[in-house]
Amino acid sequence: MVCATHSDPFPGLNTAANHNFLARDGITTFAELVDAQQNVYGVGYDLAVLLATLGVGLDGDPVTLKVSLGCDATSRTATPGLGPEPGLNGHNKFEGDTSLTRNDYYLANGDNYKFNTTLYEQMIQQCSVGGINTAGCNFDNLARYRKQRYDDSVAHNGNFYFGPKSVLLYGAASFL
Amino acid sequence: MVKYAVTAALIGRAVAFPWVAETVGMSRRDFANQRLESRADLQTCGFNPDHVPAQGITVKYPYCGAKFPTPGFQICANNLVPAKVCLTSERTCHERADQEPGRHSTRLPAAKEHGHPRSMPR
Repeated sequence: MVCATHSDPFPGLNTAANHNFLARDGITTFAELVDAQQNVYGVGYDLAVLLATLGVGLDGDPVTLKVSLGCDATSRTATPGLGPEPGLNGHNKFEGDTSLTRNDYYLANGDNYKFNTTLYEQMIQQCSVGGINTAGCNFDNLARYRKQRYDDSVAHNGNFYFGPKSVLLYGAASFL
Repeated sequence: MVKYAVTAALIGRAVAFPWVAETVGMSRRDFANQRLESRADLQTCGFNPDHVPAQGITVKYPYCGAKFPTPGFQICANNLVPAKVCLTSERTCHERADQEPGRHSTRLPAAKEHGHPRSMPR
């Protein structure tokens, strides 16, 4: 998948693709997504199916059951006549604002997929707050960082959108 | 198959009706900045004619035993990802390899990508 300097907005899926639990070229299928979540991250079967359904349904093709992990690869995922299928980069479909280590779509000229080192360092900083240096990125620390990202988006992103799907992504920090 | 095609076509038409988009959790702003959305470098991935599907689990490297439609193990203890003994000559053991040409990825700098043991009761 020739995507210039791009990655996808989900580092866990990126890692799985690096290790060939998902197709290395980033064009994956519903079955691969379900299996990779379980085999790599221990996600439960029901949850894995739910997340894969959302990913393929929102950003991929419901007939071929293919989805691009990053950029738009409609020519390789879509059933003839359907599309466009933006891949998981597609804003406000599976991907949303207030990501842990990615910029908001409208704050970075559409770059909602590249890893942001500054945001990552902020997250690590929150994971060490309160003198609990050994706690790491536990539930409480991640919740605090989530709030920080939400407040930052509210303050700086005039196109900030936090809809029902965003709640699911927020919840990923707890159930994953 | 026909049902899926019709459903997908109807859903695609929904983008023409902002109020429909809003009822499924999208925003009018998604359609407002068409110029941003239509940037060429965000529209398409390069074509890769040599798509290779993911390598699933094997008898030697079963991981958590998930192979769709069969669910994985209810209890998946000591699941080292990738497998601890992983010969570089074995393509099936999920060692990290260089990306497909032109595909880049980012790695979590401090995250333990390799060999992190997992014991995940479900």
